[in-house]
Amino acid sequence: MLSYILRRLLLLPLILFGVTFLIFSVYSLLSPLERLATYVNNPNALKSAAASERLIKKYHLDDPYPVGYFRWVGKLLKFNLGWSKVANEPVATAIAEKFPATLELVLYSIIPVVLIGIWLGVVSAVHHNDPIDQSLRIVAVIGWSLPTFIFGLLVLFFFYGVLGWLPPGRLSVWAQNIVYTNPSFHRYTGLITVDALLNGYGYVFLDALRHLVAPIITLSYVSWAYLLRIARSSMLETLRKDYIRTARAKGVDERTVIYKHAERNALIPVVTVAGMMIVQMLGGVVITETIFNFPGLGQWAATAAQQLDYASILGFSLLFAFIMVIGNLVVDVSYALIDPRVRLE
Amino acid sequence: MKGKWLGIVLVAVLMVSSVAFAAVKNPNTIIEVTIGGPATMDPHWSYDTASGEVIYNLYDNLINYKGSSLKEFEPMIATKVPSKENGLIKDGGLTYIFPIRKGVKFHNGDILTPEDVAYSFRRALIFDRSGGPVWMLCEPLLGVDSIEELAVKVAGVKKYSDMFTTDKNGKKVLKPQYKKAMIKVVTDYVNKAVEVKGNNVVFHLAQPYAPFLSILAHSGSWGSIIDKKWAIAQGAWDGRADTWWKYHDPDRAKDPLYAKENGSGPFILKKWIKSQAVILERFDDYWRGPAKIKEVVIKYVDEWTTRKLMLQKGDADIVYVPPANLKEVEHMKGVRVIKGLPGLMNVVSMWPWTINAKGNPYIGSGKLDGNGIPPNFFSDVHVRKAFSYLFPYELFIKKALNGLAIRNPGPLVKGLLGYSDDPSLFYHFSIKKAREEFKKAWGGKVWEKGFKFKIFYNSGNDTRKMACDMIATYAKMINPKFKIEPVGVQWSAYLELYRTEKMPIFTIGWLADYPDPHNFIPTYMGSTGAYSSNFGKAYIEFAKKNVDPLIKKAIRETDPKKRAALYKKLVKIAHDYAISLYLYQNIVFHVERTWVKGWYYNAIRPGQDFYTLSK
Repeated sequence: MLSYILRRLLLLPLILFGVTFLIFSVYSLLSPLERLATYVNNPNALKSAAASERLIKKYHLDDPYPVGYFRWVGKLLKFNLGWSKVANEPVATAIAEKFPATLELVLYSIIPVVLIGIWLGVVSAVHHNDPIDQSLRIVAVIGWSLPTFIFGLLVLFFFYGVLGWLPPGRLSVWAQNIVYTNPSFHRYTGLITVDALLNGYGYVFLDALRHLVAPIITLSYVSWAYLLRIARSSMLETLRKDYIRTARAKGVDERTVIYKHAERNALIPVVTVAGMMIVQMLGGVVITETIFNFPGLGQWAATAAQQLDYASILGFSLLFAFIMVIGNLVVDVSYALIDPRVRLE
Repeated sequence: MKGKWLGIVLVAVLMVSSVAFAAVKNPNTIIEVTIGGPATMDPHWSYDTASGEVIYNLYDNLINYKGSSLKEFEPMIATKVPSKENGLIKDGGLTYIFPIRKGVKFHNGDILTPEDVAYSFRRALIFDRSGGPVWMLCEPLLGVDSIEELAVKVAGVKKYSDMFTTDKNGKKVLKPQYKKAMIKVVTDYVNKAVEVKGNNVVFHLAQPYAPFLSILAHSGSWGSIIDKKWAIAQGAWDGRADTWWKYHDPDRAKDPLYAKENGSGPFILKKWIKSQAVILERFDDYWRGPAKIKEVVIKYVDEWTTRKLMLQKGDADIVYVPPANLKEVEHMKGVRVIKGLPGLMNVVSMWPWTINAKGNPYIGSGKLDGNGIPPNFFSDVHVRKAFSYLFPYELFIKKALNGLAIRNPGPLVKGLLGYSDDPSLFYHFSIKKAREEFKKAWGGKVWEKGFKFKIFYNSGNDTRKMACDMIATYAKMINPKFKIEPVGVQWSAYLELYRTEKMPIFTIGWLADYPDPHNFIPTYMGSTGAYSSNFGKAYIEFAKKNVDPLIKKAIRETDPKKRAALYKKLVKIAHDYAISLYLYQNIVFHVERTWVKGWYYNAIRPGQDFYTLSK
């Protein structure tokens, strides 16, 4: 298994190279004047043709493709990912600040997603075709088909607009002051709930948690509906297997059949799906972050793409490719660990 | 029974909500929720309104606009506003003298001196980043568009980059033979343009420049006064003539002042949380006395629904509302909407008199054969006039802009010197007149053969799309042979097409840099104007002969009445020659909670003046 892991890790640089090369290729299809749009949002900035020329020269927008790409790679080797125009800071700093926000959101969301999704999937399968199953299927279909931006806005409207309980953003103004301007508050992890506890600021912890609930509800509902369907299908398939019939014939009680014999095996594909779901969520949850003004990776990357901020796009792609490769690897390894029939070679 | 309890709970919730509405939330903090976010804290880099708003509240200028006025000034760091009458404008408008206020403190406690003022402007001139705002200072003080242009002239080279080479480490260095000339740029030009004489700072202009005070008064950017000692300590230009090129046009990552400040303004930068919020704290030693409010938080929230709910819940005091959503807040409880505020932006559809035909698929066959247009299609005044009559201005303002706009007769916006409401300077929608002009155009060939071409708007801009759709629809209505296809393109593509002069008609806006006709007329009409320089050779020749002499005369004229008359003449030329299609000037509005006190409007100010606000 170790050699398998090493071989997969050795592929990582190649994949990162391929991804960035591809993005740079697409970017190179634009003319220097089109690339100029990255630096000019306001036509006032281009008072004359000379002003355009200065910008093109300054940012090397007329460089041939290989020159531009290898200049970027050269900087990358010095750990310089460039400047994020959207975030107004170096790309590496932007990632370091935004990734923990997304991670915090995903970590809290994934708990209800996995627990509720799997549990309801099993319940649904066990009560196959009876009213419980039908109801859960309807709930799942709604969750799966309801656009996140509609569900998110409904959550925001009800829990903030009507009840005033769950405000948008990551922190209230007073808590923001403590976290960002109080020198005694150390940001150890960037996960505000964790840092608040480590610093002994219970009220900040509660405030951060309060701001997390609405995006978690939004993200969870959409995701667990998907997991419910996977878990249900897998469970139904397992329940039809011969060994289950044998267990029942032997007189094993139904609870043991379901939760000991069937569920464990049925969950193997679910683990794969859930693992990949986490990996994909770590790449940013654009709509949820935008609606709840949650300053994560997704919101940043989407804005960067809209504004042709290629340094940010490349930095984000590198990170996401890295997460995908490592995430896939972890899922594959855990799959092998869960199911002894699978051998990694 | 259950229904009864539910009713009681609902009433209780409503009562609690109404009590909450009545109480002022965060009484010591003003929270503005808007979009975007600042790009920098360096006044000499800043050229966007989000940065400008923050810098406006951190730094002071020599003078400022007086209240809501765009024409009157009040002293700030200077103790007097120069004028001919008080003897502080001399030599026929070539010398401006500013006596400097004593005892003004920077945020770190340093005392502001005339040397700081001179350093601020000299640093602005040598900093002059690409695509930045410093051309506005270069033009009056150095008589060029950029410091690079001046260096090229002084050194006698072809391009600024010719003076540089790369060393062993790949670092850009000045070739030794040009060092003398480069030093001269500062010693003979920059330092002489801004001098310290006793307690005064004296500006020597390269030419009389009527809007000079207006340029200096625009706060939030190039006119801000910075602390020389502090700036040098941060790594900004050391003030020496033999180093300036190392500090010229840096990358933003290398600009030492991009995330720091030490102004003398009413607020101190407490924290800039990139793309999320800016937190400002009251400066208690402010020379005009401390602000009423203790803290300011500017939050950047892109989603409109979120901003709306924050306003509704009282978590935001001032909110940016897109014009399309104005109705949603007009009757919101506890919210005040101030409408009818004239903005300083106009939107114009322009037609190059000579379109670049090289590889241009947008003009069809390139001939007047019904399947295209010749590259010089718009050089015929009858074509331009026909389109000017063809556009339903009032209907467009009503439908596309919900009435939040007014019309201008030419490129000059209402509120500026020389603006005229003279009805004879306006084109009015008239199918009949449009038809008559089309029949005269190109000796009747346009009417007989028809035409086919594409017109452009930047995609996502629905207002401009509607303008293009209206042009296309009415053209077809007049003559079915008139085929115009509106095309939406991304901003990046739009920029390229406009720069390469390939669009037969393109629509774009201009937001005032400073409130003076010189910021609008040359832009839309001058031979070197930001837009009009892209109208092709035929127009450039026309402008050199008919427009530029008047622009030059107007900029040098210090008598406002005579200046106004010159700009009226220019607007008449714009009308008579139908140089462009002047669509509208924006009307803006302001939305705030009713507990906010002290807000006033100034059209040129970037964002809010938090100094006057309280709750």
